[in-house]
Amino acid sequence: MTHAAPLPHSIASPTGDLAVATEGLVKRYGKDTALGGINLAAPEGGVYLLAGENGAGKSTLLRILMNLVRPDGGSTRVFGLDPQRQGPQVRAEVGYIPETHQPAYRWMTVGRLLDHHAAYYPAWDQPHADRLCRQLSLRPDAKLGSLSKGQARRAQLVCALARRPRLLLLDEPTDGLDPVARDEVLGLLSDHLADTGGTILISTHLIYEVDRLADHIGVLRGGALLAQLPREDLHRRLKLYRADGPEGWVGPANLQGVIKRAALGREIRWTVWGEEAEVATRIADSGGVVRDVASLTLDDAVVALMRAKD
Amino acid sequence: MQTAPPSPAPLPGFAAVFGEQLSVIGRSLRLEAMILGAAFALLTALTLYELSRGSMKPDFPLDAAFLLATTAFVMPYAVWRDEKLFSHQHFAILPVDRRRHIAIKTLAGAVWLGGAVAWIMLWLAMIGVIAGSDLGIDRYLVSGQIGPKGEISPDQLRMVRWAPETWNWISAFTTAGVFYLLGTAFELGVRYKLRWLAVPLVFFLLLAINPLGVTQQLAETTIELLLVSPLGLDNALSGGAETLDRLVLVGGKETTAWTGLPSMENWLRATTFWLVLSGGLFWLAASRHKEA
Repeated sequence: MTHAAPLPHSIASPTGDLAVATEGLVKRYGKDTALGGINLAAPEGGVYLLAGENGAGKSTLLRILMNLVRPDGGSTRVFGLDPQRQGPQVRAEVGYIPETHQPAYRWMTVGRLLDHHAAYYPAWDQPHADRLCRQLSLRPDAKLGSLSKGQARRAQLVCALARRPRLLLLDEPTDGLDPVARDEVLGLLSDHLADTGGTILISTHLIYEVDRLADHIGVLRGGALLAQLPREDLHRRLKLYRADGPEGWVGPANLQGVIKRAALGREIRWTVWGEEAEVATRIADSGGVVRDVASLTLDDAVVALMRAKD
Repeated sequence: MQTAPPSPAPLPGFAAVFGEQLSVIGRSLRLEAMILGAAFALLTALTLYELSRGSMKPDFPLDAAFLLATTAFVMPYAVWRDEKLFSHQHFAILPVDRRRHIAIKTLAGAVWLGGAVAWIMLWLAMIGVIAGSDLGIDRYLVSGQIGPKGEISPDQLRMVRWAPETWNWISAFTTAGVFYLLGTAFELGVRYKLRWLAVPLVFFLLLAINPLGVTQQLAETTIELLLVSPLGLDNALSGGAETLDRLVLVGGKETTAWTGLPSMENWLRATTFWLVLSGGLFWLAASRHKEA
């Protein structure tokens, strides 16, 4: 018999400061609940990966942070600012890349788009923008209406990065990018972090694409935040145990923290949230022999959490 | 050692946002401006040709106020078509209070509209100078008592020449302003615009069916209130210059004439009313997109 333990919900910030904090955040669309009381805490500095399936509420959460969508309940803070009351100040601090690739002004060239952003953001750094364009192979004279999905995404990235915001909110940032461009973009995001010491909140269901960046993980499912924790905690405490035992052996009763259990002949595999020594002892005490204990890749770990029972 | 918290990111000033919106709108309207420019060039050529032949006596084009009002009403569509306000796209992401941002963009559009109106007025004045005309218009004016059914005697009618005054030139700008604000309010306030086509359709359907025999009368009263009442659009557009009363001459023959000259008082009263009304509607519509 297996029992699921409550999944982790706490992230301790090294400085105690949070870039993004929500408490009991609720958003409904008619009878559908997009977000059902979310308590998200993204520490300042580093990358918070908000993972979840399509329709989990990731984009809605980001749009609430930008005050593009009004929540039905709870509170939201971005660097201590309330997006609903201090929307312009919040948006000045944030570089936001929405899910859509559609440019607002199809007649604009890339160069004109950069000028447009420069007018709105006094902190705009034109030489940096030019450098980013070169790195991403974006021609300033290219018309936005004629850009491919990937090129439009690159233009959005340049607009978001060129003013060095304290927080980047990226909604599926690698969507539409080929592998080379994706690598380039991830490199730019790493450079941005090193350059500014800022925070990035990435929402995606393609975890493997941003694997190398993530410091903290939040998992959304059906409008609920199933788990949020530092990456090292995830790798340290969420593990796959392979064990076998005598004929008819079913493993320890009431093993806490089991997220998934699968039997293959006499071998049983558990994905368990818990301390490795404790879990291994429980398995051994029940008559099994632990053959292997392995950390999960970030992708597998998140998928395991997404599939966990409530 | 404690590090100081980073200073907040600066917000853009009015001048930067206004200048940028002026530029964006200018570019967005380029196609329409080119089409209108071509039509205007053709009109200029035809007018100059007619003037050179001496076959034209230019007057103040009161009828053109309707064309100006229509253009000003539809212009906001072109101003806002890229912004997708109801789905909160690019415009909503920028770091400016949304209602203020809308007001700034509307003002930037108004500057372009004002420029176009000024251009037309200048053109008209130049045509007047070239033709040696005061751009006046000739109308019959009634004097004395008018009978309860509009009966007058022919000697009560006299032809008068009325030349536009300074306020008539200004009224072109206020007309454009009122209809621009009404169009902007419609653009900003109504999400599903095509559905509103049902309103005139139902109106004309009711007019055709005329149930209980009251629709016709209701329509006439509404149109009269809207167009020729003291606060009606004709007073707002021209100080009442287009309002001609229907009169009956002795013998039963019908005619139309002014019962009074267009006046600045009529225009000011009606224009103030329409500016307040359109401004209020604009503000209500803009408030649909406010921050919280």
